[in-house]
Amino acid sequence: MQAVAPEAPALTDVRTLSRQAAPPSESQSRSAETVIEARNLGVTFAAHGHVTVALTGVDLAIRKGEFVSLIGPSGCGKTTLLRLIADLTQATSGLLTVNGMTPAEARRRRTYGYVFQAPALYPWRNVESNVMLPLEVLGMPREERLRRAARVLDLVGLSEFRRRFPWQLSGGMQQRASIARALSFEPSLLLMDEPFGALDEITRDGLTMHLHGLWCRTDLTAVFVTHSVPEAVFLSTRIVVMSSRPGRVVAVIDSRLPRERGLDVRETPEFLTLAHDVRAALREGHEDG
Amino acid sequence: MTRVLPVLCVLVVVISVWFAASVPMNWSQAQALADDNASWTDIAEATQSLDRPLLPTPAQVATEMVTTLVDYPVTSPRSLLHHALITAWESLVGLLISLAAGIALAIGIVHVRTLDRTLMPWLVASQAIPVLAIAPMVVVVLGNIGLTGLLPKALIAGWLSFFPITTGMVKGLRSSDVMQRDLMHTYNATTAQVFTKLRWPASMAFLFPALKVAAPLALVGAIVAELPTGAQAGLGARLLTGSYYGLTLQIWAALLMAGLLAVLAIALIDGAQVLLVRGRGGRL
Amino acid sequence: MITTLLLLLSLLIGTVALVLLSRNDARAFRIATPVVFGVLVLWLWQLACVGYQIPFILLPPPSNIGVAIATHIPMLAADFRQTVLRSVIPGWLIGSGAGLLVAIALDRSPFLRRGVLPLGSLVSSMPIVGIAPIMVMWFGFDWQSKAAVVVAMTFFPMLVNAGAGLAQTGAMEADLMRTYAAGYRTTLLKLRLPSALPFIFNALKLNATLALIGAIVAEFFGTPIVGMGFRISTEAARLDLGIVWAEIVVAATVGTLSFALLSLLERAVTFWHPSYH
Repeated sequence: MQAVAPEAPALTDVRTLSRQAAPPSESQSRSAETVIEARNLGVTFAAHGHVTVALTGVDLAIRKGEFVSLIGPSGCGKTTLLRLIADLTQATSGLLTVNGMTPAEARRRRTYGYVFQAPALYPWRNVESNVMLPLEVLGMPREERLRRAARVLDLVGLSEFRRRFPWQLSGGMQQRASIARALSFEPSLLLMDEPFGALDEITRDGLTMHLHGLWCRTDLTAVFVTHSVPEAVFLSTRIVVMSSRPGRVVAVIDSRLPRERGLDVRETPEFLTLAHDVRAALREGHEDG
Repeated sequence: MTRVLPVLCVLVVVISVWFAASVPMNWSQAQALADDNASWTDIAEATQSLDRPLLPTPAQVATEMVTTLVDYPVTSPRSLLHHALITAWESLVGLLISLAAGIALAIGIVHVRTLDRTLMPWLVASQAIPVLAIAPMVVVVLGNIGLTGLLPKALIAGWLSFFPITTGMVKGLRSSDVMQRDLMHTYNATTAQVFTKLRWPASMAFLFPALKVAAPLALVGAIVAELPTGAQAGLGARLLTGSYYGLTLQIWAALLMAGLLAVLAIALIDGAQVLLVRGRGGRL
Repeated sequence: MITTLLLLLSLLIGTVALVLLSRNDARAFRIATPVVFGVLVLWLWQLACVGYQIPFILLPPPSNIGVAIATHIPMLAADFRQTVLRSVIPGWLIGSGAGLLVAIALDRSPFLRRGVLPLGSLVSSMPIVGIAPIMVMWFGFDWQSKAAVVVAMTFFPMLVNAGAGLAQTGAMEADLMRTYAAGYRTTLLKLRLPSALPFIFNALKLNATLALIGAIVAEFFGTPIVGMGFRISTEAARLDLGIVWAEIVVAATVGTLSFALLSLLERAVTFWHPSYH
């Protein structure tokens, strides 16, 4: 894939950035299938007499192979949106399909892998056994399980540590194991809820690079919740900016960065402009809300 | 309401099952006592009012309790209240002794390393030892040197409740954060000040749960301590005499009374906790 | 006179030794300190009994207890068999097992759980050992009634603890199972029961002590002519305190050994729990 020379950045109203021309190397993906489609999606919670509008009027289409970040302040509904896709929460209005099915059906068919904010590894299982957990639930035979676990541990670079127990690993390694687990049954969709939030910056950089490399090498579609602007800009092909009160989508920004990137892209003017645009959108959302 | 309703439902179910079970369980006895031409319903009715049933009905137990509580003066040995008060008093005295001793020892253990290293392992080990087994011996020996009545029972009750109180208090006095202790250090606080301002308030969260374990233990201790002296007074004595003379209803009434005493003790401790908590912003 | 001097001297030397031993943090010293304390107590006890000529019917010296143990091994063994092997162990297994099964059954219904667990916790604070005379009426004088008492005593602590253990499953870990579309049974077996194991072991250890106490005390209420509780109550009444102490030593040993065994098992099974690292 070749990098395309970016156009001179125009500091226009952020909403017009949503329909920027995509670089030619991605033209295939424009006609690629839609993996996730949301139309006028909304979630309202009612508890103890209070009504909370967690999410309202979300229109979004995510295509195969994209890396989409959901970014916004706390309470903007980004985790709620992710949980809706995962069928961990149910919508109260609007439409949501995953791979053409309802989220519940997609969950039953184990369409996606989910990575939580904390590793959520089961402490009584070693790393290999944790990674094989979904495969056990699926009822895969033992040889198959071992083979897949070995492959996916190799992918995240934890093969040496497969017999260790979670508490024997650092936070970053535990989170890598958690990602390996999410990939072990080879889902086409990866859902991640601020997976690197609890880690220090140096570890985070390493893991971000790792995750990016992983996504480049496979044809995963990824939806990634974060509150870090540099992280969103570095990883994504598209950035969905959200804001709170009520939770909603404020802007959708396409990334002009090349598909494959190194960490030094963070110092390029394109990166900085994109980050600027995202921050501008966040500010606007904050002022409106 | 969501907390009370399930409990009430379960209670209703339990009492209904109890009533229902009393029929088959008392059947053979009722049948043996009945006339030859008695019908099924006659026998079923009889199961509800036997003198020495295998399983008394809730109604029978309740009646027995009420009669023996109310119909006799408190001073009479036929009054259930008389025996309940005796046992309650023995437990209370024992609990107070162990409270004083336990707190004192816990303070010692936390502040004096020798005491900690010497005694804590034994306190922990005591959890595994059936300390109640010494009750008969203690009661008999004390009786032989002329100490009868309240003292041996209170001592056994106190002995049993001593261990949870001490271990709970040690844990509680040690429960404060390193950071909280460091703060005191920056104020150059004396050991006594650290104790009164930090360790003691922090230990309350452990003292009350420990009391809720210790109080029932004191009660059991008092009841068991009443057995060896040929059963003179108290709920334990009542259980034993009921057992010797086959007075089923007396046994059940004494048992339920003991249960009620335990529930009352826990309620009182909870009440004390609420009062304490009010001055501390709602949390232990 | 001499006795008093010896006692004070021993006390002095012992205290100094203990203070010195306590200064060292090494593991060997941490074990030695309480052991030295135990030896000191035994020594002072022996000295006082012999020196002051305390009557045996009041307090026998350790030497007398040792002799009592050595000369009554068949009787002690028979009592052990009756109480521990026939009443304690079956009662503990059945009571704990039933408590666990009921806790799992209740797990399905939050309503029932809210009803049963508070009642269970209340009942476990009642002197359940008092049902011994009733159990004798139902099951006869022999070990069966004592085992029944043990079942009743061990049921509720296990019910309450296992219930608490099953209820505290992490939300994230449970969500993970949902993303695998795992059913109730899979989630129970692969997540909730393993994570409840520390609570279950807590109850098992507690129940071991309760079972032993329950069986012995239940025998105070009447039993055929064998059993640890029987021996303690009858020999105490006859003032043959040597045998009483001997039985207590056996009971204490059984209690400690079972606690140690359970702790070892617990460590092997719940090695992953934060309290071990």
